Amino acid sequence: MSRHVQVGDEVVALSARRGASPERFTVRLGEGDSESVIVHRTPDGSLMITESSGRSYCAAISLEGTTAWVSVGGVTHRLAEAQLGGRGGGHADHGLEAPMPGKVLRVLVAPGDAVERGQTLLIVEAMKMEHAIKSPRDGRVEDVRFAEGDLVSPGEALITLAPDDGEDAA
Amino acid sequence: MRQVLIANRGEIAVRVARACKAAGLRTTAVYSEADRTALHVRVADDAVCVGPPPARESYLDIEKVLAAAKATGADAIHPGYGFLSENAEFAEAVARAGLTWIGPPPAAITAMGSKIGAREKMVAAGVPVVPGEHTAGQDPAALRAAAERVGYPLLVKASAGGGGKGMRAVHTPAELGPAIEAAQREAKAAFGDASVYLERLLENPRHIEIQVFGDAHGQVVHLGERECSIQRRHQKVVEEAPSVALDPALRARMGEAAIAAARAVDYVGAGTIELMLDDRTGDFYFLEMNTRLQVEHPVTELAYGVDLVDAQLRVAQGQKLPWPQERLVPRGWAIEVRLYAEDPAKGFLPSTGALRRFRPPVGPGIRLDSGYVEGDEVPVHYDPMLAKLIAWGEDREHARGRLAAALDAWEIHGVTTNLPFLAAVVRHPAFASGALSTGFIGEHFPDGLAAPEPSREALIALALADALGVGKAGAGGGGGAAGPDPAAPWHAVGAWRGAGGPR
Repeated sequence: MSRHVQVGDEVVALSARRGASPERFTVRLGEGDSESVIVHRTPDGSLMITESSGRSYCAAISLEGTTAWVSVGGVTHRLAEAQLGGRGGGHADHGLEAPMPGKVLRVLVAPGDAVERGQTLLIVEAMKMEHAIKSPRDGRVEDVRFAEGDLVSPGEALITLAPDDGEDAA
Repeated sequence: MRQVLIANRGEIAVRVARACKAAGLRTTAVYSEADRTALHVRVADDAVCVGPPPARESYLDIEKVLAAAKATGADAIHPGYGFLSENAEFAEAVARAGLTWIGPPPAAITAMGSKIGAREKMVAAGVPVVPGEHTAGQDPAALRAAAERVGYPLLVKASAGGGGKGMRAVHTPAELGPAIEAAQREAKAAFGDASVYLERLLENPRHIEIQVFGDAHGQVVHLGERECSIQRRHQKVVEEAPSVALDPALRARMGEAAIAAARAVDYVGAGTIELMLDDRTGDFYFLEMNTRLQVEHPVTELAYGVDLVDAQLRVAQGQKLPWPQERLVPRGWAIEVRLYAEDPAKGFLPSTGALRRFRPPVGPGIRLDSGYVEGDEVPVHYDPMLAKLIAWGEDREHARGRLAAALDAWEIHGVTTNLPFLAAVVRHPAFASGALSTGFIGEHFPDGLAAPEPSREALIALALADALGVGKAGAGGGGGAAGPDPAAPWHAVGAWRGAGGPR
């Protein structure tokens, strides 16, 4: 099994293979980078890792679906499974998704409306604060999927913009 | 007084319960259906469900809260901060029900709760105030005219406001209409009162507040200042006591003004006078009085070596203040950060989820006031503040170093928080030098804080976790469950066998 994570502009495939004894592993980080390590599991669920150089560190990991949380060296990383095919694919995103659970407070546009980049399309209330959902680009509203007062979950598409002509695909 | 009902949730309800237990008092918790298993319920002696998740139907329902007190034999009510803490009607209802109100007299809440009336009282008491228009009414045209008189930039503020809710900064006349509309909506939702007023926006002032405390015997003292300049959207993020901007002479002047303000409304209990300080001139202006315990009260407690909640319990029972003014001298330095469930890489959007891992730091001079423990769900219905971490040190640098190290050691998984942002603020050279202003975050972190690129160590650890099956929910991995599953693949790891098997 391998996992793919986004590191800068690259997608890196991660895998680990057990070595000669149960605590020895060879870890692969993408093409051409590997590391032999010794791993011990701490009673609180962390991993104590020793690299071949003798450098040691302790890491705490929580997996949640395809998302991983890793704390090591005083920093916690949230690592989502990378979209294979690179970063560009998801970026042109014509839908506008609810960033968090909340309630639609105001709907400021209707299907067919021309909108400008940065224009507020919708106001969502969550945790007692209002958040403006803004258009990522110039375009035309194709569909408004919620009405004022509706509850929304994170990731739900609130509004779709008609596909653009490609001149503003970034 | 034998049993205290705590009309709140989260970290403050837990903190008040601790003080009650230390004073030998029993506690009653109230909770909404979203908080059935919340920490504040678990630490209480009795607990009563007061309704569905929306605060208006539970924590803010005065009748249900009073019924909960009656049902559990509570003879006193502590309101915490927020919710009903500055609701004079509630304070009066508590007294009418024959219960002890652990807070200021309702008349003082009313006097300071009307920001407009408070301002007039302060002027009469000789306390300086910020230029503003407080009597323009709610009509858009009248507010527009008032805005011209106040001048831009200005603030639209909720009359019943606090915590940055129902507040909008306006830099040009074109922004005024939408700002008023948004502020009124937010104020209506948060406080049930849509009224707003206008006030001059001072450019980059320091936000200084003075802790005051009065008793029923006519004594009023001040416990120095807290600096709360590090704010985002008028929500405080970092607070400290004392402030680098005050010397003993200015502290004494501001302290005297704060005592005069408290005396003007016959104040009893813990209260805070908020002031704007222009640190180039030493001029300061009364902003408002918060007639409750503040979120950031721990920095005062650590700098002055006092327990403000314990003092509230004593004063509510008619005792004298435990400290005369001359004994109140700060020692060392305390800095607090607020942990919010919000994403600094995405415009600080609130986040929710379950705290899969939540391992707060411990160590000398480190205090944690948390409303959550590992495994808890963060509900969407309430304020996104999860916890406060406070560091005390012999001086500011000592406290800052302890705080930075403690923030690095804090492991939080499952809910995106502002933890990395807090560490970056505390380590920022401008923060280290004490160059604080309310414009600090906008100036130094205009785009929040990008998520860090994963380190090589993190990638190695993740690959190993996948190979070993570590870190899955409920698998005894990162979730912190104690017992390992004997069938799990990591059981084959040598070191684990050596540890003596399952416990």
